[in-house]
Amino acid sequence: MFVSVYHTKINLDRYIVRNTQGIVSDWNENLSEAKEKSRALYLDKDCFIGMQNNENRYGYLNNENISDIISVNYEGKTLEELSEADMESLLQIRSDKINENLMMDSKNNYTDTEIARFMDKAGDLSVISMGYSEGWKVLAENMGGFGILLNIVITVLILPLFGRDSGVQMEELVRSARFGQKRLNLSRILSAYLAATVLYFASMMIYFNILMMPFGFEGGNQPIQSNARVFFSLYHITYLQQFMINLLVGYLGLIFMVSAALMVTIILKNLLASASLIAIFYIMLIVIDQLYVYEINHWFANFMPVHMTEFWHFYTGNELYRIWGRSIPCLNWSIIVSLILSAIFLAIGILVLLRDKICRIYLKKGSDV
Amino acid sequence: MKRQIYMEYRKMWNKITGVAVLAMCAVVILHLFIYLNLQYRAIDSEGQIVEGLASYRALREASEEIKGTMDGTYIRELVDKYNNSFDKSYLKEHRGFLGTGGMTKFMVPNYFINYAYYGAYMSNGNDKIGLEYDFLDSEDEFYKTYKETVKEHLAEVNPYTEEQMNILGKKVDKLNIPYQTGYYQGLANLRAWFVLDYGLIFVVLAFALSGIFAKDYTGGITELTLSSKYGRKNNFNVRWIAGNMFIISIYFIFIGVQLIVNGIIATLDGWNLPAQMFWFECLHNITVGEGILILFGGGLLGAIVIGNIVMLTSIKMKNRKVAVILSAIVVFWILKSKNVYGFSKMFNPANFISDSLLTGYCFVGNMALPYFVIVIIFTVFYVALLWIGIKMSYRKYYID
Repeated sequence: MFVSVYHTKINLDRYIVRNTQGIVSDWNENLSEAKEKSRALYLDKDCFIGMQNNENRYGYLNNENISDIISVNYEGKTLEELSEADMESLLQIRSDKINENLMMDSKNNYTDTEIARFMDKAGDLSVISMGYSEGWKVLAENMGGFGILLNIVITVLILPLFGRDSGVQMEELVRSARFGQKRLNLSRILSAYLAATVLYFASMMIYFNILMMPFGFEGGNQPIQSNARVFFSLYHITYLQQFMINLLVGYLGLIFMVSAALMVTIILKNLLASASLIAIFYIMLIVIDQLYVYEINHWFANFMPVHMTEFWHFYTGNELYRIWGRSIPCLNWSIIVSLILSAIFLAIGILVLLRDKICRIYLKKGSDV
Repeated sequence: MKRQIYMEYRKMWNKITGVAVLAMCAVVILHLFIYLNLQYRAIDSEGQIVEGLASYRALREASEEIKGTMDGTYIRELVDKYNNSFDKSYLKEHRGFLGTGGMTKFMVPNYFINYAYYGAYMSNGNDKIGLEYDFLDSEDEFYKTYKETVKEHLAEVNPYTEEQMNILGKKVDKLNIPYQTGYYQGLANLRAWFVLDYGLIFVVLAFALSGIFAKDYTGGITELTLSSKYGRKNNFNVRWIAGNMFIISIYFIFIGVQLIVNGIIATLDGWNLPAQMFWFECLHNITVGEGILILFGGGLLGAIVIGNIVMLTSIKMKNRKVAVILSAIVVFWILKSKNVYGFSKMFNPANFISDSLLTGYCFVGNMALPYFVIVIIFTVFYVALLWIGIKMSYRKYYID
């Protein structure tokens, strides 16, 4: 809750309009004006002409949002520099730019079929609604950082499930009890995933409500392309859909870490030794995230929780994996690989737990022979 | 006492420390091998592009051609050599080559010359490697321009007064020109990865030292320790000394791994080149190797401060797990808040490895104190404060 309130405060401050004399309008006035003036607002020629004729027609915030999009689409041009032809060909210029970026990309080496498929998607967007959706934009911007924080906290919370505390000295007693092996292990594994699931979704809901409340919940049905940061995205989805995808990807990142933490604590048994390993693993992921090297991101970091919760690259990177002759988008493949790795970690953990039993079966078989 | 220190020191090398140190070493080695292999390529002496780890050896071999003292004759030959080189034509056609991890033998001397032109705006890209400058016509003119640029750079990035600039100006005039140039890529990698992975030491210390004064840990404080004749006084000193010895050991393991891996990949050649080839605005007449040793020294002092913070947390919390969590939060906060501007950044132990150690000055009256001296003073102050805090807490340490 503290982080949610802090993020809300930081983000609301960004909506305070200041000049040299001080505050011109506070966040509430600014957002209310944007809500009022963005009804039935679409990014098109009429909108540009309206803004050229009257600077304050759509209010300060909508003006800023539209100017940002103009800047990215028309290569730094301002509204005043746009000709009528420029205005009319807004989406065509967007498509050309996407095509140019795909052709220039030296890392993915797209085939003609892949480019054609991407361009089909680019052509699907026929209109961009610019309705009020500031809360969703702020949410998309911040939920990755919050997801990582949750990931770390929940991983720390589940470490004691299998991490032996040398001070308690109860492990041997528990293990020798009737249900101390099979049922206890199963209960601990299930409770790890259950606790992680409940904590994750409950925390995300608290975060969602606290962050969105001052901004208002409207705008979930607006296209994500109304945000300049993902203007060139080929995912034609709404902010609500983007939130659901991010929520799922963040959850899978958490499942990955829970599985890894279970495996490490089962193998090492020692609580703090496991915690130190997990902490250094996190630091390694954070350092990797800071140093952009395509090959490392492509073959490793994309499946790791830190980079997975940096959601933007899924929507704007157009990264592809060629698996068995099929081109799979990075988002889909990251989900699949992350799940497979989680299953492998869990399987290793279970095998280590069942080690004694497996050994007994082998020994019995040997003596039978 | 020596025996006691040794026994306390040995207690710290437990499973937790072992796992943390192994993980730290594994991350450092993987980072170096993977990134240096994937990111870099070089133009060798035959004009061929060599990729991966082999590129460093190729660069070193190619750099033999440009080794020498940068006097008037050298500069004239360098300009001719560069203008007629494959490297120049290749860089012209491949914009961004250097910016994406590519290397040429001309990097070291050409960047130094370009610094004289760009000053504070110098960066390592292939748009700032050309040699079309009038001041290269004579050695005197070049070094005069270089010295003026250093003065402008210092005045631009630091709020020095005119009087202070005069004092620094005298230091600039005393620089030992002309400079030697050559190959130092292995040392450049060493410095870069040392800075990048330095935070790992803090994590190891947070886990390994959190139990030193904990009552819930077998190697921590017990009733017996506190009730024996010399328990409180002697045992405190012994643990504190052993804790600091442990910090030094962890630090040397980290440095050792960095030196070995970087030495294997790109060699530590260039140790004797003047520091100005690397830190252009450095006013000390020292070598690159000595400069790196100063950074390592700053790193050690930063680790000692962090280690003592963990020890204070351990004694205040008495509970190992709580101490680990609190220490991790403190370490995270220290690392996160290191990116501030101005002199205040030197208060942060995470910045004790900053290049400012070699290029920055703090004025006390008319005396210019180099930043590395300030770092030593800060460390003594921090450690004394933390030592008093730990000692006072130990006097009142009770196991309820």
